[in-house]
Amino acid sequence: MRAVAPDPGSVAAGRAQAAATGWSGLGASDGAVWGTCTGSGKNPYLTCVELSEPAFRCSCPSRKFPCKHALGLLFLWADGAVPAGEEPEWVRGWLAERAQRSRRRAGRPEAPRDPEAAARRAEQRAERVAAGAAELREWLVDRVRGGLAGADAEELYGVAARMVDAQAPGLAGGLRRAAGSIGRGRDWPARLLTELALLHVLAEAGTRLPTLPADLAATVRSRLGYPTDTADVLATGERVADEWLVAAVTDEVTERLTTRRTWLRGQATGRPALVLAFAPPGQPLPRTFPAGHTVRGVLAFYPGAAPLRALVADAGDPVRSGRPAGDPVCAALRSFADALAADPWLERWPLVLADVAPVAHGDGWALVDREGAALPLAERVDPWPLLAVSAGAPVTVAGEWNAAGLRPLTCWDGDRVVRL
Amino acid sequence: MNAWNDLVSAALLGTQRRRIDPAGLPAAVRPLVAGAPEEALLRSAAVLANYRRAGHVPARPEARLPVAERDGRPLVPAAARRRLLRIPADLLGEWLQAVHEKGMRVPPEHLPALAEAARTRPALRPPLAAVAGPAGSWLGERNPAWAFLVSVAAEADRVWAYGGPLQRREWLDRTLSADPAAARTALSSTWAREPAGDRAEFLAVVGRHLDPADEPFLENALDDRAGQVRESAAELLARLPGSRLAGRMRERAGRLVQRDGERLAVALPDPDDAALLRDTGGVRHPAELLRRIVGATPLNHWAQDGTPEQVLARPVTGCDPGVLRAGWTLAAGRQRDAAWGAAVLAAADPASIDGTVTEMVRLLPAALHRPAVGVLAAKLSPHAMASAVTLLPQPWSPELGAAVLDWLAAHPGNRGLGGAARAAGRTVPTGCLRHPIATAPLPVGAAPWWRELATTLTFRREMHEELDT
Repeated sequence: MRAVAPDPGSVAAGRAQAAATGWSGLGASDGAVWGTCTGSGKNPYLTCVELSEPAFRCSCPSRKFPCKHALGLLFLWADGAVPAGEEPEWVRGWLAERAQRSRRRAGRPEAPRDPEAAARRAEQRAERVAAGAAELREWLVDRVRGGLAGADAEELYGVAARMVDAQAPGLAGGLRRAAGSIGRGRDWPARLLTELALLHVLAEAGTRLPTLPADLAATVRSRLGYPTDTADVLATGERVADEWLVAAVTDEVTERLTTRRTWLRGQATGRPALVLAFAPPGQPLPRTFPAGHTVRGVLAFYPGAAPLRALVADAGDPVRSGRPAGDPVCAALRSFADALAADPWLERWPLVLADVAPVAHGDGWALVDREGAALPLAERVDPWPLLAVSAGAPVTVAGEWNAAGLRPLTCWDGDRVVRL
Repeated sequence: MNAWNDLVSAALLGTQRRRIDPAGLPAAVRPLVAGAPEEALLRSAAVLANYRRAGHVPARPEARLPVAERDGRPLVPAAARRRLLRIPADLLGEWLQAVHEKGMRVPPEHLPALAEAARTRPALRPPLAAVAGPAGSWLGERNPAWAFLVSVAAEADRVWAYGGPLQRREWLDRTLSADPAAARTALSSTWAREPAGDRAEFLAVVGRHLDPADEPFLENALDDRAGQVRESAAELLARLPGSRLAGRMRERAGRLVQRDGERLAVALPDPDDAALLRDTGGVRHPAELLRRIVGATPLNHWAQDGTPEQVLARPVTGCDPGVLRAGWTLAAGRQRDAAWGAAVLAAADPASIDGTVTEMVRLLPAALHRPAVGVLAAKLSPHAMASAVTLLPQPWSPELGAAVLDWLAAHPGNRGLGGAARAAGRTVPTGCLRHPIATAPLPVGAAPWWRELATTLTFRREMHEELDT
């Protein structure tokens, strides 16, 4: 059951559902188990589990997948509390729908494995990216000759669109970030110049990929937005086995995509790792690990000069962890400087700070460690939940560090993990 | 730093107008700068930008914040923590109160959101301050918008002298219960210097702890410069049947309302009578003056005219009988007279049942709450009764809660009772949360409020139950 549950909380909730008295119409056939369950909503929830995969369906509004009702149903079934029966109409409907979908999937022709064609496509793409990079460099030179004071966001979005056409989404993304900074905040010219200058270096590096060391070339390729085949990462990426602390989990929601960043930290190796998960808006994210847990397992890192992004190659069950060890501020900043030296386009860096207490800092707040060194909190961060947990006392804080300041994401209240 | 600022201004102006000076760049960067001036600028900017990012020097703040005292109370159970995120604003106060009574605390990370809620709902402040404990005090000292969280116990000596108006009112409120003599001394010592608005607010607090010992102070306040203060003082004195003001009112009532056989003959008071204006706060409308006189007259004055029922039934000449009734209603409420309360309720004209009439329910012993609801329901249409329910004085006794729920349960299909059902769902005491409305199946044809009421009662029941685990 734990293998299919999204998190340990769901297992407990599923157990509670199994014990609940609100079930009716329970039944099981060879292929499925089903029942209706009274929840907090107006109508009872229809819950069904197809046993072969297993696959879950429930009419409840939960965004967890599978939801506690489906898990509860499975518990009931495992406990032998579900009588055999004939599938009711709504269950047959769902099963038919699933069968049809999987037939459609099966009917889709598998991409032909033609190494020559693949090589040709890769070459074409490389040419288009190189042309895009060259165009971007020319535009940057013109822009800097004429002065950034005259740049307007529309113009940058236009160039970004051409970079999308050139199959260099990394360049497009950088331009969109640059466009978004124009006129925002007192130091926008500095931020705009930083963004454009780093894009210039990236575009330049993109034109001489074959001459770069392999690790750096991989970093440049991923920053340019070349896709990496996850199967390749799992097959050939650097593998690191450790007990991984899930230091922080944060979701970023845009119109087109929800991105979940899960920051991990090897307890023995000290390695930071970033696991990304994506979902279209409104869709549940794939199963990820909850903050404040540890997971024994193996990560496969994407190639690069400062490998950070990783895939979970193999993992056990998450186990609730107490307050983790962390770093003092200076050590944390050194780790960022080292990573930046290898990957100059690094945007954010995970920190786990030990025993930091809040202090007033300018108009905002900072966290100061036992050695007296302090990091400012980013202006956009709501500092109050963290301040309330600390109430002046030192706490362990995990978060993301970048030019805007520290964004705390997790802190520990004694041994209790708090998502901020 | 200068090299960077030079780069930024050159980039803003454009290299056409301003060239960068390679001599100003750090030595390590200079060799990287080659080619056209634009390329040189972009390249050195990229390097310097990352120098700046990588070379962030931590601040070394001198000052530290105090550390809040440790809060040894247990956190609320996990189920209650999860529920906290979905408690409707109007049930938060009840939940906080229950948490406080169980000797628990809320997870501190939720305190800021709760403090924000309490900023716009002052009723939440005392229970929130109690459950927030030392962490709340600490937050209140950091964020002036949440100053109400600062524990008064820790600040007792300074609050009256230096606190904000709200803190001072809360201090006065608490001290009037704990040490009334000290509170009165503190109030009198600064009274003359307080702004008029604050004086009126302080009187309202005094009203919550009214005692015959307040009379001399209030009698003085009748001569206050501010009309608002004079009016509050008159109102409070009228609630003290033994006060000199009550004696003056009794004398006026005796003069203006006289027995004429079965009838009561009324003469309206003189709106220019200065002494009367002093005692009533300054209105100049004769009928309103009469209502205030009767409202401040000790009710035993009317014993000579019969029982409360008999007095209320007497025909009236010389003024609208409603004026006299309104005065007696006011007096019954102020003087907490159960016999008069019951009589006013029974005699009330359905058209004039308002908050002052339903207030009479408060005067009755709990055992009479159910009959009182019966009296109201018999007089009023279901629609008017629904409005009256929302005016019933809170907190409700279990008897009152059960009577209102029973009345609602008798009208399952009436769609006009939503407001009353909402009020009842939030107001009935915890003893009523297992009422059949919540536990029995939904009746066929029930109006939408029924389900909503059942949900509210169930939500509240679970809310309390999970704090017991």
